Amino acid sequence: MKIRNIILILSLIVLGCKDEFLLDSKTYESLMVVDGLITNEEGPYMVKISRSLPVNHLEKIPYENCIVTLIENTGTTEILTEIEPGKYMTSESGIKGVIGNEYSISIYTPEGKEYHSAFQELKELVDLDSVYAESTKLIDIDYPFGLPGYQFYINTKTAPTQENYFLWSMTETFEYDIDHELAYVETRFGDYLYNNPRYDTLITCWRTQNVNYIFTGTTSKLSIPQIAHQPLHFVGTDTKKLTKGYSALIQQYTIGENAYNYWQGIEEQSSNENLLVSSQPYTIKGNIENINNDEEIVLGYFTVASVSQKRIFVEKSYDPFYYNACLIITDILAISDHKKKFPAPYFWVKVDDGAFGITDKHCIDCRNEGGNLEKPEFWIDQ
Amino acid sequence: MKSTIFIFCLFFFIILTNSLLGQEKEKNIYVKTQSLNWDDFSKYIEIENNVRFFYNRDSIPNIEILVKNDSALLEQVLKESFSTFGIKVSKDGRGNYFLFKDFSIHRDLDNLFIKDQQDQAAEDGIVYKADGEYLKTYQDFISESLVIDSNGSGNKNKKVLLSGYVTNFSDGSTIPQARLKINETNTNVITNLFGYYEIQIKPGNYTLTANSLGMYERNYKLTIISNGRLNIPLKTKSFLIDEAVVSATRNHNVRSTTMGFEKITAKAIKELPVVLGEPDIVKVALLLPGVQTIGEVSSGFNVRGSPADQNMFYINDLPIYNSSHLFGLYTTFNSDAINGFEFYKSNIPIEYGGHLSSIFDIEAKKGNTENFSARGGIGPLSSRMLVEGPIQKDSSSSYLISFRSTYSDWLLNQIDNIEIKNSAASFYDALMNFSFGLTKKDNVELFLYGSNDYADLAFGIRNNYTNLGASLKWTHVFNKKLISELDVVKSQYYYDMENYEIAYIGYKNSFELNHNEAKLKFNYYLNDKQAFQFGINAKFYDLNYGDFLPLNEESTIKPIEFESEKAISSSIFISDKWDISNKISIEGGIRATYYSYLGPKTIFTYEENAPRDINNITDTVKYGNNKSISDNINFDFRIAGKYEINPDFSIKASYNTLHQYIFMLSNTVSVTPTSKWKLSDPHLEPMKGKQYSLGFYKNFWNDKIETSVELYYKEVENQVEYKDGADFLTNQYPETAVIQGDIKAYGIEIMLRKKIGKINGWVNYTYSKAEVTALNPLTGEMNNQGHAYPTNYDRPHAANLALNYKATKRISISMNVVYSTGRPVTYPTSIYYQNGIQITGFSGRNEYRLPDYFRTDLSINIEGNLKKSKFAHSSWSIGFYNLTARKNPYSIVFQNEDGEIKGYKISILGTIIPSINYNLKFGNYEN
Repeated sequence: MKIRNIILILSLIVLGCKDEFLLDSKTYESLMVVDGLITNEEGPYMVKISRSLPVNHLEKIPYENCIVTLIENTGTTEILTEIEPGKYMTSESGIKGVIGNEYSISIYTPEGKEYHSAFQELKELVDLDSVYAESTKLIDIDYPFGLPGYQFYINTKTAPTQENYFLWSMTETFEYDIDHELAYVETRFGDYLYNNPRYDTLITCWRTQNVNYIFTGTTSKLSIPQIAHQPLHFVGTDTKKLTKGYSALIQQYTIGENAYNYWQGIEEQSSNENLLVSSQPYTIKGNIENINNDEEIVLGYFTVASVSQKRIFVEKSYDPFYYNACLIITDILAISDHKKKFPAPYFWVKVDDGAFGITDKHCIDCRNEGGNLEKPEFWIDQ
Repeated sequence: MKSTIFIFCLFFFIILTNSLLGQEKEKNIYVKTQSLNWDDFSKYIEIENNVRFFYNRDSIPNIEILVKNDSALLEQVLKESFSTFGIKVSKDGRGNYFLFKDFSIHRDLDNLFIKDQQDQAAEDGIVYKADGEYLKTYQDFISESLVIDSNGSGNKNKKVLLSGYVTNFSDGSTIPQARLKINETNTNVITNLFGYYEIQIKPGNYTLTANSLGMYERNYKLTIISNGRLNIPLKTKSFLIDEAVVSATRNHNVRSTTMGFEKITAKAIKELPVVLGEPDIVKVALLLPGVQTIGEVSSGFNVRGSPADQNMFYINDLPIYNSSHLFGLYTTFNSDAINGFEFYKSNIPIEYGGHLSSIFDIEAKKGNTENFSARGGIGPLSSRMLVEGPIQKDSSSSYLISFRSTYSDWLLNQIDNIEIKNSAASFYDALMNFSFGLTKKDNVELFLYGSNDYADLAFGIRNNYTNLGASLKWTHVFNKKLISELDVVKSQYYYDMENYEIAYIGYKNSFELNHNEAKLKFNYYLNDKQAFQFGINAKFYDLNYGDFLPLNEESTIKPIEFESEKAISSSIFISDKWDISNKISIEGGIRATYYSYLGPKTIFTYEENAPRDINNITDTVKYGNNKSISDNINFDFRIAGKYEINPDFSIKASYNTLHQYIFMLSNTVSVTPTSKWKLSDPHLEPMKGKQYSLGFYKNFWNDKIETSVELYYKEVENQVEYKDGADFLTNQYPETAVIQGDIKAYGIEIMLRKKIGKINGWVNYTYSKAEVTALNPLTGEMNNQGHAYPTNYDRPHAANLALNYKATKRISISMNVVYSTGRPVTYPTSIYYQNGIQITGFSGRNEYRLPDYFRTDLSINIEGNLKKSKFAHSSWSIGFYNLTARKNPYSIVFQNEDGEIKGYKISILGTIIPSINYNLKFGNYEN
């Protein structure tokens, strides 16, 4: 999320506001989507072929039974194996990405359509120099006085050549606890269980996920081929992410100019929050073409990149948090209502003022918030 | 006659009884401020004050009786009201009032009447009787009797010359284009640019009617004996008299050949509700049919399906390239300093060329030639000041200086937040208008204008944009048939921007547009049926794109140099307006333009029939300074005709073609002040526009109600559209970033307007469509897969209501209601995944729409004491913008929240916004 919100100031002056509304897209065209990546890292490499989905339709539609061929400019080709519906993978002993070589793919669908991509060079690796975070506040229409959090930055090493194009992505891992400390559990026999190991193990979780933003940059317009203080993602206190410990794995992909133009367009459209200079959204075509019909739109990109990555840990935030915690019922009448409606056990938690209240079952199991109970191997306690 | 005799008998009876019963002490009756017609007034006063009125209903017109002061003596009020009708008023001291029209029998009673005629000797020996005081009435009733005679006697059959000036009663300024009519002979005369007129007429008795836009009509009963001079002061329809909001000269809409035309006076602008306390001409224009905008914070507006760069603002002939403050919240024209504006959206006058859609011709006020006066206003965001006066006493030269500035900076500082405190937003605008009446035949006007906006929004962008300009206008009257006007104009639009969002790519860039223009035009009135306009016009454009530079040491941006561009366009034009008969008029014009794109410049040649891309460059040619790189000659045509079925119903049709050589490059949805302009060059053809329109105009109730229906069909060729995803900021090859496409637009506009009365205003409805196709079949370059798409401002249904209610003499209430279909937007319609990240796919361009737009504004104007002679006059205006607090979405944004795409409507001014404005005027305060 880029910090580019001129409009917010204006909105503050002129009392703007933001309201959610239901997306009601009537037109939806199911298009072929190609998502492939070849890097200088050890394979195997994966090419995923699917169809685009209606908005907020989470079930993926794989494109099965295609013949996917990876072609190296040295003449080597390899047919990928469909290991899962729509997921095509190179073999352990197959093509390895070599810097300086060029790669393309071709796809034959069961319907007999033929697609291909142009050759792209695997660019020379430019290493990440450093990854760091700064504590700051993000002004947003929802947080006119600023949402505290961390802004992540990277520096690259100075590249050996002038024109370099980068794509950065982030994978985040964070530790968190359930919202309220469990005091005791009231069983259906009316017993009060304290320090029950069955529940005590559900307090702390770790969750790993992709940050749903991508970032791009280039040295082609710079006088020195080095990127310094490139802002990436901002993590705020509007979620639980910064309550205990947070780590981000930052991957830097060195890509070609065409791939950069594609990803830069994607970045632009996904961070289009500046109303005053909001550019016209459009369908961004990738680099896969139907050989017999150049009007068919194929989404996605077969990306060839060299990769450098770094992990960073940040400590928890001491600023106020703004997420919605689980509800606690403290009112006696409401508790008796609750007990009439729902069977035991009841989970009693301590409220800030020292009183006790009942909370829902899903609130005492951190896994309900997407994490799992095992601490990742790389995790360093903060 | 019987009733008159009866009244007289009664009258004598009363006199008799009065004298018999002895003199009772006279009772003075005071009446309070009000305005009623005579019938109501007399009934009311009779009941309230136990008095009786005696008069003959047939001879006393039912005029409106206006009591201006807090309270006034009844007798005085009656005398003032009726004196101009030759009606005399007397009373008997017992509550009986007598009103008589000139009746010889009264001579005996002369001592009962007070002579109230203030005779005024006028120039050249005419007898001139002024109508003592203001009178609220429907004009037709007023009539003054005059004798025009310089020699005392004349030849009855030889024509004599009646001449003079039509002037503004309040400030003595002359009124051009005022209409004079001798009713008996049906002679019509229009005053020249200096307000001068001449009428050749045989001696005799006539009635002369004089009127002009925004002025009260004035009638004279003339007894013309020999040559004579009659200066006619007309009174402004000021707030003392509640009449017309918006008006062109009477019957204008039906009788003229003009279509798609509006003339709005300063008064109308001020009477409409305002946002944040400032009257605003663009906000008024947006209430007219066929005018649309993208939203609250978009600079510029859209007329009949055209993008904003196809409109042009002229203020006193000076072109203004950026017309908005604070990203479109305000207009850069202080309405205090404006006389009004003329707005052409269909048949643009031939003297203008170069903008396809509309001309906004703003007339700045001329200074008062009689007295010094000053006014000012304080509003929530800005305050303004204006001074004017004669340059030399008793000369026709004057000055006017106005200044307006904001204190939004101060407001931002009050907000307790560091980022906001570090933001800054400010603006000012200023104008100066000097008018020199050199001789009776020459007038020179020097006009200076400047406006500036500065915005530093603490999030990384700093903008500073400025308009500067000067115009010099010399008008010369050769004779009553030929008038010339020479304009020399220099206008500059300049901005610089600094972007410090991301330090290592922080940059600064500037842009400068210079528009120099000279125009010489002649108006030739062949006879009362035919008028010609012809002239020459040269424009010189010089656009400097500045360099793209690193902002500071932290930035490692490589500087990029941009070449500037120059072009000259020279035109000759002629038009003829011809009233073929009482019913049929036609108007035609032709404008030939030679356009030449000049060096120094590097021109790239691209492979033929291949997309324009730096990889397809085949040749590079450098041209020397002022060398013509490409040129062309184009002809613009205007044809319009009117057929008058009867005096209040006409049909008109028009066709016109235009060319435009300069356009704005913008890939954003709304127009921003930092969009750059670009000249037509060897790669980019000039834009061509044509428009057909047909209109029906019908007036009702003696022209009090005007209605019209206008249909149009419009095409724009070579419309410059940004290629999807293209970047212009660092692009040295702008032709690679654009496609030339077409716009097709059509619509119907229905307007109903009530010009006068306690309640006046208008309501209109427009149905329209505007679509763009951006496809180059030769190169395969296209937007939206080559399919037509609605423009960003395509709002098929639009309805506006503007109402004004004069509640009392001091309080007026006005209201707007605006409805339109929501503007088109591009929606997210699909999702897909790349490298584990969810990506949003979009619908076809502008395939969806925002919810409908609806807004109601209300404002209340409260005038201070209405005494005309008061030294200072103050008024308050209280406004409520968006009274229903409807959250009209300006835009929508989509956010991906943990894999779920959520849509948010962003509304600006999405709540009721009250404002209060205090205005103070010193000296004359009309308007």
